[in-house]
Amino acid sequence: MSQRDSSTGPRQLVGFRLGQEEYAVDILCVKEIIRVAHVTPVPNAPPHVRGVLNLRGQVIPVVCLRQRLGMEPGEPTSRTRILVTDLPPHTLGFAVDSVTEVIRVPREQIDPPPEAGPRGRAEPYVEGVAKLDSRLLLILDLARLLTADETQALAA
Amino acid sequence: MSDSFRPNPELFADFVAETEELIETLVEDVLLLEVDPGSADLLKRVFRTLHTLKGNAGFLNFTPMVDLSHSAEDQVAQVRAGRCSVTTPLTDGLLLVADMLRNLLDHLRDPSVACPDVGRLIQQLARLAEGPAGVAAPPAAVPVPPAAPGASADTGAPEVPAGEPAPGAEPAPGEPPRAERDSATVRVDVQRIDQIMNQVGELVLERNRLQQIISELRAGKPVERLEEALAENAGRIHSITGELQAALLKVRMVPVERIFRKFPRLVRDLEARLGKQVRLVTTGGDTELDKTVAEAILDPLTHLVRNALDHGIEPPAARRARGKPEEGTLSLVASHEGNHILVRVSDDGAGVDSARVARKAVQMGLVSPERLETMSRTEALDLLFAPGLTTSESVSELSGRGVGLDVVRSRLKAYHGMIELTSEPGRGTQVTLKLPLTLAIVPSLFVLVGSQLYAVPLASVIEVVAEESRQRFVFQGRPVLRWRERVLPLLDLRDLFHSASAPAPPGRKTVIVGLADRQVAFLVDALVGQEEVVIKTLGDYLGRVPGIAGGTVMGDGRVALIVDIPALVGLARGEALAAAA
Repeated sequence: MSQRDSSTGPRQLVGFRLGQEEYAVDILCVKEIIRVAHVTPVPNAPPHVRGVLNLRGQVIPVVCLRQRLGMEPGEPTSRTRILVTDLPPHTLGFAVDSVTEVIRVPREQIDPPPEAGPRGRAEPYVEGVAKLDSRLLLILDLARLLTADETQALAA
Repeated sequence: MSDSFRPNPELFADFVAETEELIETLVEDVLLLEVDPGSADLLKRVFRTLHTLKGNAGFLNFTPMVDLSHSAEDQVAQVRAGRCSVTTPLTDGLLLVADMLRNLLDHLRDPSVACPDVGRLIQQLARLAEGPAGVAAPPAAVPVPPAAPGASADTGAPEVPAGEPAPGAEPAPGEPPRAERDSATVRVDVQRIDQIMNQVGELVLERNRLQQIISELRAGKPVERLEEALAENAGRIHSITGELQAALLKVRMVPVERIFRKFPRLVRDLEARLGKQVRLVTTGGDTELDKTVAEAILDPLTHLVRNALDHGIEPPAARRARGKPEEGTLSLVASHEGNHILVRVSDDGAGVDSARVARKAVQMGLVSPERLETMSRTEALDLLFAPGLTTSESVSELSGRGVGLDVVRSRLKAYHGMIELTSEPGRGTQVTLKLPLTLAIVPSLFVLVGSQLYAVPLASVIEVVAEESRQRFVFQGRPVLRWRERVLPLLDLRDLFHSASAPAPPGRKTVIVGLADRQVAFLVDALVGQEEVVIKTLGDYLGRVPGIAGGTVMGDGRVALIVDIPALVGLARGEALAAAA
């Protein structure tokens, strides 16, 4: 992530929706975006893990990002997508309600996360806010989210 | 000196792998030389091996290794020149060199391991050349690997006066043969790779044919006998992928000889140390098995061989008194049985006194005295696998600490293996290890639980029986199944996998699985079929999911989960044990 911070050009983000809110992640960590394939539920796994799916022979876990961020789990629709992310050492799918766009955002338009205001369970993982014409995109740091999961798993 | 030793990782891995092999060859040849001291051919081989070791170390500028191999090479050169002959101090010295080279490698691999001091050993070697008077006992400074804490007391002893090659004392006795720790690499016969290349070539042809059909269809051209063409194509792909799978498995296979060859040295050292005479016989060394499995059995085998020498085979006098030849026989036999490899360790020693095992178990509170009355000999022998049990009256450095067979069994469990022990008092003991040939591809039984399919490795399935309620009971609050005069813990996979949403269908099946020598019954909704599956991990993110060993991709592209039999058996046994206590 340090390379990204040191560069000065616009950031490329993948925007997506979770409920009413719009989020984004850095495009560098997204390997591909797939439609919902068959996800096999894994018993005894954490509740936010929807299951595992077959990505061309590789078995990868799928995390329901809504649930992970403390929202109600949503029913999969035709617009539901899975962001397949590459966050070494993990390859992981994140289920989102829909993918909106891939955009370039100049760095001046990205603010650090707001200090005040409870934003729910997403807050610790918001690394910045991208201000677009009429909307705000919360940029999530997925690596941080995974680290938190691991710490929790170790503590359990 | 060695701090500056940082070659590129690839070169280093090659160096480590080759050095390990050379050290092994060296040990083997030295042991042969001991039996046949006059062999010029063996001497030449030892010389060459040392020379190559020196050259490789020199190439990487690793001075201590260069110096050590050089001085050993010098000694062998003296013998070759006829200035001295092959003596026990020399072979002992060369074996110590091999040990020291291993320690040096350990240091290279992990710089936190102190770099051993080669100076004393070099001096000792040099003294060898001065004739018998200069022969020193192996130095006390030979580092003992931390894995053998019991041996350290002995090697810390003051130096034995020079000139006395104290038999059976120092040379790091009982040190376990080591696995090639860098299991991330495999050496493969080029022919096998060529074979795979050919198959991939064929696969490409079939893909091209498929693309051709598709483009013809896209262009609106009628493809002649389309269905037939596709079926043919699919058929060929099926057979090529089958061959490819088999060929790739072969790449992972190594002869069990690789493991067996580590034992002559161990037996030699133990023999001397224990004052026993033992002949080691190995058979079936060319039996092939998966590299992972091969590495997995090294430690258990070492345990068993040590046990056999320490507890099994009697001292020569005792053997004579019993009318047996003074020299005991220890045999390692490998063979294939279906998809399994069997490795049998047998000795013609004293055998196991099952009554004593049982008494010991009562003393330790492992079984009740009442239970003992009704115990068969087999059941009593089974107690040997109980944690903490040892039949040895005194704890020796080699064994008798009660960390033997239960460790062996749990190791095997992890690899879906089984262990069986038979023993006849006065005649000897036989331990058989049974392991799947490979861990990568597993013939599995697909079962339905709720709406999900699960794969159960067939290797652990003993029998499938219809759900019969008259065989099911509740024993101390836990469901159990009566099966062939035995009472097994019964688990419902619906409960374990939380799939109780829909009511259980009628006509469910009970799958009896066995792991090592423990059996457990599982209830499933239905049997679906049998298929070979490739085990895939669920990834680090999920880590260890209770009851799930991994996933596999099915024909329709969906993922089916693989049931973790060892975990479930443990769970069932744990509960059963807790209930019985």
